[in-house]
Amino acid sequence: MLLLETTLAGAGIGFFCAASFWAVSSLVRQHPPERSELGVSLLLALGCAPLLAVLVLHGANAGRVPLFNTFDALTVYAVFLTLAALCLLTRRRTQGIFAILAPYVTLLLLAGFPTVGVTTGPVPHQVPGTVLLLHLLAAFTSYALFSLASVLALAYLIQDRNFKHRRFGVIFERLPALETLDHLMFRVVGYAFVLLTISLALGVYLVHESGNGPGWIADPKVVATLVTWALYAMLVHMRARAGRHGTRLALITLAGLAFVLFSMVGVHLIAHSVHGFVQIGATPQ
Amino acid sequence: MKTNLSVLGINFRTAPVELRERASFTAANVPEVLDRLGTEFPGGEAVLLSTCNRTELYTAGIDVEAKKTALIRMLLKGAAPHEFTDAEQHFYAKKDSIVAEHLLAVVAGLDSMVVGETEILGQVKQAYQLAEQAQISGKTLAPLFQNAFRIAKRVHTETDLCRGRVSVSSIAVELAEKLFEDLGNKAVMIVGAGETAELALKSLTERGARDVLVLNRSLERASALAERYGGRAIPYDLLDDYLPRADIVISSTSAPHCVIREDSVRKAMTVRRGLPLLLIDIAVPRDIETAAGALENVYLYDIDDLQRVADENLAKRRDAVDGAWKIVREGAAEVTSVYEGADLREMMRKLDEFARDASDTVLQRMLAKEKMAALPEDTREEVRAIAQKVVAKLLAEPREGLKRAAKNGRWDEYARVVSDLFRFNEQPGADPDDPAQKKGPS
Repeated sequence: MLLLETTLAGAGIGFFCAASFWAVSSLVRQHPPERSELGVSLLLALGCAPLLAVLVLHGANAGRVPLFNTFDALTVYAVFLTLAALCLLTRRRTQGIFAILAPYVTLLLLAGFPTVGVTTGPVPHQVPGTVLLLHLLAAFTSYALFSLASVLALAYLIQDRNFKHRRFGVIFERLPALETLDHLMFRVVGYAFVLLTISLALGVYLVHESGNGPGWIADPKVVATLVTWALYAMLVHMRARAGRHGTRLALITLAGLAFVLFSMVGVHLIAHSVHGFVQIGATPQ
Repeated sequence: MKTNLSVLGINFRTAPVELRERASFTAANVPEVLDRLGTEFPGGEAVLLSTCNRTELYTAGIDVEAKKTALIRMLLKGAAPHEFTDAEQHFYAKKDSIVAEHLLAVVAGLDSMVVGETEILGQVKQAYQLAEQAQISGKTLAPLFQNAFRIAKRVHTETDLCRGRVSVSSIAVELAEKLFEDLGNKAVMIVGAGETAELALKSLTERGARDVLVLNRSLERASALAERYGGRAIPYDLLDDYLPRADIVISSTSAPHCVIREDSVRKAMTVRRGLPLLLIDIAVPRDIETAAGALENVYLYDIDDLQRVADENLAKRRDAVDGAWKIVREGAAEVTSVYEGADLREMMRKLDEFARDASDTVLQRMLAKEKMAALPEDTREEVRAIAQKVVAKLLAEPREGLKRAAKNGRWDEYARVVSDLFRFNEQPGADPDDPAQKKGPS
């Protein structure tokens, strides 16, 4: 089983590597944009399929929601992020952002690859399965969408530099208009913020149901997530209520990625959490 | 290629603008010319392309060389008789396989005044549609134009020939499009009423910009310009008040000092709360203080910036010309082979017909003779079969030669020789055995 999971994960990451190479090289080699767009999208979609298969196998094998190991967590995050970007592509010509997104996702998948098939500690038995699933889905979708907003923010800042320094090359051509990036950033952050809020609410319910008591508020993961939530609440306020736009908002959105990554994975590397069944480096099956 | 495919025309290289004006047609009066062509040349096909830089009449089934004067007269409507003689020297006429290469180069933008411009593709498409609507474009011109559109698309996607704008006004518009998602809800402010600024405004309004504010020292001139583009004239001294409302500012005054100060822009940006502001300064001396360009979310370009981009784009286009010509030549060869395929089939049919007629005529005469009359019918059939085989054997090598010529691009040369040898171009009814009609050395 481990061999099959490793092979499928390797194949998925292979497609992501190829997509990254194509997306980046298209900025240098000047392929026709339509061909690059189709090729990169296809490779990313093909990469998602074996990765999802690994999750299904791992879940079936462990008999639970497959979100309790670093590779699984990063894979769910990467696949959600990729699918969100592909959905965006069907609505707007945003293919230029794949030159940023594909390498980023690939690096995360490569980082998680050593823990393919690793089993971690048990889920506390008091936690209701369906609510836990919804809690996790909402959390990971919000992480993916916040990260997509950060990718759009980085694209915004690159495009801003292009405008300021009069660099009107291939990157300038491929990236969307500044205003498009600004609109998309805010909309994506809006959806992500709602989902993170739902995830937090479900988390509170789960804590109550599992009988962990009031100590949950001091849990490092909860604290990190609340800080992330507060940051994005400020961002949403700045845009929706104060009507702010432009590079400063893009910088804050980009900085938000660090908070997302820290609350998703980083916190487990430095502190013990009630979410401790997400562990790094447990024994392979 | 024996399709009587021709093009007769003038362009900016061969004719002065006065003559091009004479031979210029709008979409509204092209059908009238096509109707006249249809009446005067029944069975012929035609497409009339008329732009500010060229007027070309593409035809099939019309002997352009013989009818050149009549066609030019038709194109130069309203010209005095003495003008035709002068005008004729400015017209070029091309025929057969050269027409395909010419049209492909035109549609791809290789023959344009500004190399790589893409507007011509739409103009040729419109010309072809008008000909189709007038029912004067048929099966001969269809493959030529359809392939031309296909090849033009290839040139646009596979080369840099059409990438990047090359005029100051169009670059200003391109920057606006790359900065803003939708120009429809953007306010354009024109400061001064210079020609380039107006060109840029024209392009912006064509791309959807609706809210136009015009400021000029002379409110009268501002009003006139605003009226032309459905905008509003604003008193010049209200510039600072209106600046925060503008998303795109194009300044082209003749003022000897800056008219838009960094302070004004800074104040405007406070009101705009980070919404991007595009400042295009095409005045010399400059109208907008350079420091304004350093402000966050402000993008300032002066005439030198725009000209630099134009020069770079033009250089890229020139670099792409060779690649584009390669695609055009390949495309022209493909188009030619389409016609040659049809011509080859027609030539083979004529050769078969010739062989059948020749053997039938000779056998008929031979078998009619007295000593052959006694031959039984089955023997006669055998003789007929042998005669047909001999003729077919004799023609086998020429047939192969023609096929090879069609593949090797020597079709025109071979087709002419075979047509001359077998007299395929002669009027029907001419008796090949009639010594009186025989030509050449006796």
